[in-house]
Amino acid sequence: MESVLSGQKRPQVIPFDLSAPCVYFPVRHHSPACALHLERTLAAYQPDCVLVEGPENANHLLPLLTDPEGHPPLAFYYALRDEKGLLGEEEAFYKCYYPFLDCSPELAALRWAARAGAEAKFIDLPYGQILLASAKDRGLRRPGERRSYQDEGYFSHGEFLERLCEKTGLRSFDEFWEKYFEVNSLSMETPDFVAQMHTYCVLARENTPPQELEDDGCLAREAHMAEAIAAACKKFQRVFVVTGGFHTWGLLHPTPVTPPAETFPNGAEQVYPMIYSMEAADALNGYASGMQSPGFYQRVWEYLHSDAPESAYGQAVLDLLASVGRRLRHKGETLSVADETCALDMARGLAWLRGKRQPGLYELRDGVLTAFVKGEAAAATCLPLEILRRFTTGNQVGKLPDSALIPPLAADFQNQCARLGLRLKTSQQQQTILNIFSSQKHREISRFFYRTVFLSCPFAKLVKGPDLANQKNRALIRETWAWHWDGAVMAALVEQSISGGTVEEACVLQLERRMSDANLAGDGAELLVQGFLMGLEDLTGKLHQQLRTLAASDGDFFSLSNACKHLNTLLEMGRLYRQEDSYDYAGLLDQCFGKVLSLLPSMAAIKDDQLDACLSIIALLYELTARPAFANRREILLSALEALLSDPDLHPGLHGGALGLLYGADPDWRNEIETACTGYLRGTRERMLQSASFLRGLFSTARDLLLVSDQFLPSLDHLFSRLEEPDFLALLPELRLAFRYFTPSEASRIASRAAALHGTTAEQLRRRPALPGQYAYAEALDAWAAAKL
Amino acid sequence: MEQTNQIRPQAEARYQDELAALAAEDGGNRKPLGWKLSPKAVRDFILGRKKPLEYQGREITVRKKYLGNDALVERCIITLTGSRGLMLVGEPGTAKTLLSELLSAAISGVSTNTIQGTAGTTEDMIKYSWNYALLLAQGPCRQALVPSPLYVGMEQGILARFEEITRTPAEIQDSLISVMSDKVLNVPELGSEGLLFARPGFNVIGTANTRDKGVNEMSSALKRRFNFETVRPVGDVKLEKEIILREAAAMAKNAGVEMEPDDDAAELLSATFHELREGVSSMGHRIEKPNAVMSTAEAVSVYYQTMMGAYYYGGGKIEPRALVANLTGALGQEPGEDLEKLRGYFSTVVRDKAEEVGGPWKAYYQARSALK
Repeated sequence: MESVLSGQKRPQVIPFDLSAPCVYFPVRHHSPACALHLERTLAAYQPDCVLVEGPENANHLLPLLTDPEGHPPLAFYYALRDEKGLLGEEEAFYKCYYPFLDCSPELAALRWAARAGAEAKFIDLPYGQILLASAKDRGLRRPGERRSYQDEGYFSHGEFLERLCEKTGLRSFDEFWEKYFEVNSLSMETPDFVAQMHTYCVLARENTPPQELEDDGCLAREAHMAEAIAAACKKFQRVFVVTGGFHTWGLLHPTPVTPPAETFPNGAEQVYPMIYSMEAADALNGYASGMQSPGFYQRVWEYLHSDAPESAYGQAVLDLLASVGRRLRHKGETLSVADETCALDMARGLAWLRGKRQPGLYELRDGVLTAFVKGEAAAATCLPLEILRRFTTGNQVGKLPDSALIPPLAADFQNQCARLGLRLKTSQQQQTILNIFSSQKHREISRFFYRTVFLSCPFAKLVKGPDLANQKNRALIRETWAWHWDGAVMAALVEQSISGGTVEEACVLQLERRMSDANLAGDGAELLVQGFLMGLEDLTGKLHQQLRTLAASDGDFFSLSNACKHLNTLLEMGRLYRQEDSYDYAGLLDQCFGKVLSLLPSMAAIKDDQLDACLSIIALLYELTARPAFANRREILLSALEALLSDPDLHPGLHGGALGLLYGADPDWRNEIETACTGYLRGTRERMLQSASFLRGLFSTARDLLLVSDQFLPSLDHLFSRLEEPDFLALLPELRLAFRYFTPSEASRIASRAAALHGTTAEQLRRRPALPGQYAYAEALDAWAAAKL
Repeated sequence: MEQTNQIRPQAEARYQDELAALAAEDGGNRKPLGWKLSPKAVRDFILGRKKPLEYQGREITVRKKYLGNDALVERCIITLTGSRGLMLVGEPGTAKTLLSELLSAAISGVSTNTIQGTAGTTEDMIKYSWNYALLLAQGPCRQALVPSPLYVGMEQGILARFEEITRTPAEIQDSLISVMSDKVLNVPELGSEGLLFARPGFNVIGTANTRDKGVNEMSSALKRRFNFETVRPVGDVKLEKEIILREAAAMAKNAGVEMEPDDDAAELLSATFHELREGVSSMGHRIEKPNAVMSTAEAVSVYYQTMMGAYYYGGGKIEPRALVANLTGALGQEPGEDLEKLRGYFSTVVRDKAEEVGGPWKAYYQARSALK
C-alpha cells in the first residue's frame, strides 16, 4: 500500500475514535482479519448497540445466527414475488442470499452483541425496497441465478484496482487483499488497520461514478442506514456500526434520496434462515461474492483463536499441505515427505520474496503446483491442485438450531433424509445404487429422489437406470443416483414451501396443478408416469378424471400416441414396481386407443421425421390387440390400416409398416407386399428412391418376412440387381437403416442367402480380389519356393 | 568477452551494467550461499524494477526481460535456493531457454555452463571425460580430466544448465540422479581424491520440450529430483506484440541493422499467431489449429526475416506481401495441410477483420495470394 497511497491526492480519512458515541467499522465479507480486528475493537469499545448492514426485514431471525445449537455456514434467504409488476413484467420472482461463515465480521459482531447483551439489528432497507431503488439489471436486480446480497463489485473490480495490482506487482485483487489486508494486517494495530481499510475504500469510492451508485440502489440504502444510525445514536450511548467498507463514506455523507413511492403488499416478501455450504459460499464457484476459498480462511480463523494466532497463516498452509499429501497417498500417488517439505519451503520462500509475513493461499497453491505436480502441468497431472481446491473450498454444511422456523417442507425433507439414511453432513456429491425391484427401502429412496426432482430441487439426479418418462432403458433393473446437499436445495425447498407441508403433499399439489395446466393427453399421461415413479396414489381420483377429460378433447395423433405409450408402460411396470394401485390405466388406455384408431386413417401423409414415432405407435397398437383386454380392437385396427393404404399420399415408410402388420395378421398379404415393393423399385426414379423407406417401414413391423418366406428374398434380390449402380448407391444409406432392424446374426443369414443366389458366399464377397500384378508375383514366389524345396 | 564479434552475446554480457548495479544495490539483502545476487535482486533482474538504479554516477534502468508469468519466475528462484533442480517444461518457443539463461546469469554470473542434450549425449558428456594424451602421459589425475558443465558447476558452486534434457536417452538422463540427491560425484580413477563435493550455489536447470518429435520419457526417480514448472505460450496478444518488437529490435541491433519498428506488422503477426494457437479469433471464429507449433519465437523469427528482407531488398519498410509470404515459413515442418489451414484463416478471420477493423488488416488480406 505504501507506494499506492503516496499519491498526490490523499483521500480524506474517516475518523476512528473509540471515545466517540458512534464508531464505524469497515469490513469485507468473510474476511478473517476484519473479523479479528472487529472483535478487538468491540472488546475495547463495549458498545450498547451493534448495527449491521443487512435487510432489516430479517431482524426477527438474528437470534438464530448466534444460537449455540446451530453453526455456520448459514444464510438468510430473501424472496419476493412481484405480482403487481412493480419491477417490470419479465420476472415475477426475485431472490437473494446473505451467507454467514464463522469468519464473517458481521456474524462476529452479532455474536459479540449476543454475549454482551447489547442490542443488535440490521439497518438496511428491506429486500423489496432495495429492488425498487435499483435500476433494471443493476444492483440486486442484475441478471443471474444466485444473487448474493453482499455485492462487492465496487470493492474488487474496476480500472483503479487494475492499476493498483499492476503497481504492487500482484496478480489479482484477491492476492492484493490477502497480502495487505489479511496476512500483513495481523501484526498491525487495529486503528492502523481501520485507517488502511478506510483509505482503500474511499479511494475505491472516488473511482466509482456517482450514477452507478444511484443505479445500484447504493445511495438509497446508505440514506436509509444513516437514518437508522442517527435514530440509534439518540437512544444508545455507544453505537457500533458494521458495514461494508465501501459504504462508510456514504453513511457519513448521505445523499438525500426520495424513497420509492410504491410498496409491495404484505406477504409478497419473505425471509427464511437456511443451512448453507462452504461450496456455495466460495467466490470461486462464480455465484458468490466475498473471499474465495472459504475452507482455507476457516482454518486461518480457527488458528487465529488458538494459542499461536500470530502464525495462523503459516499453520493453515502447513495443515493443508499435509492434508493434500495424505489424500494423494491415499489415492495411490507417490508423494514423499520430502515433497511436502519442499512445498512448504516453496510457500515460505515465496512469501518472503513477495514481502508477506507468512505464506497465504497463493503461496500454498504455488507450493503444491511446484512440488506435487510432476511433469508438465496438464489436466492428467493436476490431481494435487484439484484436491487442494477441494480442501480450500471446504465441505462443511451448516446447522440451524432446532428452534429455527424452517418451513415445514424443508423440515420434512430433512426428516425423510434421516429416515432413509441419506446423510446431509457434507456438501460433496454422493452416489447411491438402488435395487428398486427387490428392496422396499430402495424403492422408497427412489421415490423420494423422484419427488425432489419433480419439485425442481437440485438434490438428486438419475445417472443410470430405467427412464420410464422417456421410454428408455426399460430393461435395466437398478437405478444409480448422484445426489448432493447444499444451500441451493434448501432454497428450492423454501420456494416450494407454499405447495405443502411435506414433500409428498407438495408433490401431490404440484402434480394436480400441472395436470390441470396440461393441454394434451400425452403430457397428462407423462405426469401420471411421474406420479407413479414418485409413488403417489390418486386418492381423490382427480388426476384420473382430468386425464379422461384431456383425452376426450385431444385431437393430436402424436399426443394421444404418447399417452398410449405412457399408459402401456404403467400397465406393464405396475407389478414390477409393486405398485398396482387404484389407477384405471387399462380404461384410460382404451379411451386413448380408440381415439388414435379414429385418427389413424388421416395420418397417411406424415413428414419424414414423424415416421419413427408413427411406426412405433402402430406397432404398439398391434401389440396391444394381442392382449385379451384389447382383442376386440384388432379388427378395427386392421381396417384402419387398410383404409390408410388406400390413401394416394401415403408415406412409403408408413405404407411398409402398415403392410407388415397386415401381413402379421394374415400371411396372404405377402403378395400385396411384393407388388408394392416391385412398384417402388421399378417405378419412376422418385418412387424408386422411396423404396428404401418402404423397406424400412416393412422391416420395422415384419422382419420375419425376409427370414421365413422363401420367395421374398429372391424377388427382392432380383429387383435390386436390375437397378443401375448410381441408383443403388443413392438408395444405400437408407437401405442400411432398413436393415438395422435385424440382429447381426439375422443380417448374416440374409447375406449368406443373398450371396448363394449369385453362386458365391458372404466370405468370398468380403475377400478382396488380388490384382493381376500381385497374383503374378505370388505365382512366381510360389514357383521359386517350390524349386528351392 | 567482446560483444561485437558474437552473433548473440550471452545474458551476463548483454546485461552487464544491470547486473553490476543490482549487485551494488543488493548489499544488505540475504543471499543464499554461492549466489551473486539475492533472490529479490534476481527477481528484479528478470521481472524489471520500477525505480532506476544509480550506479557509478549513471542511471541504470532494469527492464523486464521475461514477459509472461511472474509467479512462475518467483517459483523458479525459490526452487533454486533449495536442494532440488528446476525443470522447465513446455511447448517449443515459449522462452524456456531464455529464462534458464537469465536465471543462471543473475544467480551465478555465468550462463554458459551448459550441457546441450541430444540423442547422442553420453554419460561422460554429463559427468567427465579424459584428455587421452595427458592421461597416457601422466596417468589419471585432475589435469587429465576434462570436466563437464555439471562437474564445473559442482566444483565452482555455480548453476549447470541442461538444455533439451529429454532428447537424451532416459538411461543417460538417469546419471544425474545420484549427483542431484547426494550432491557428490565420484571419479573412481582418481582414487581417494576422486570425490567431488558440490559447493554451495550449485544446482541444475533443465529444459524439456513436450511437443517435439524424438523426445524421451523421464524416469520418475529423476522427476523426484526436480521441481517442474510448465511454461505456457504467452496468453496476451498485446504482450506477444511487445515481445515480437523487442526481440526483433535486439536481434537487429546486434546485426547492425537500423530500422524503425513496424507496430502494424507486429500486431498482425501477434494476432495471427495467437489466434491460430488458440483456435479461436478475437471475433469468435472457430479456427482449425495448425499442427506446427505457433510459438512466439516463431513469430519473432517471421518478423525478423521480413524486416531483413525489407532492409536489404526493399525500401526499408515491411510490406504485407512479404510478411504473408514469410508466414508460410513458420509452417516449415508440415506445410501441406497447415497451409490450407492458414489459407482458411485468411479467407475467414482476416477477411472479416479487413471489413470490420480495416487499416493494416485490409492490406494483409489483399496480400493473401502470397500464401504459397
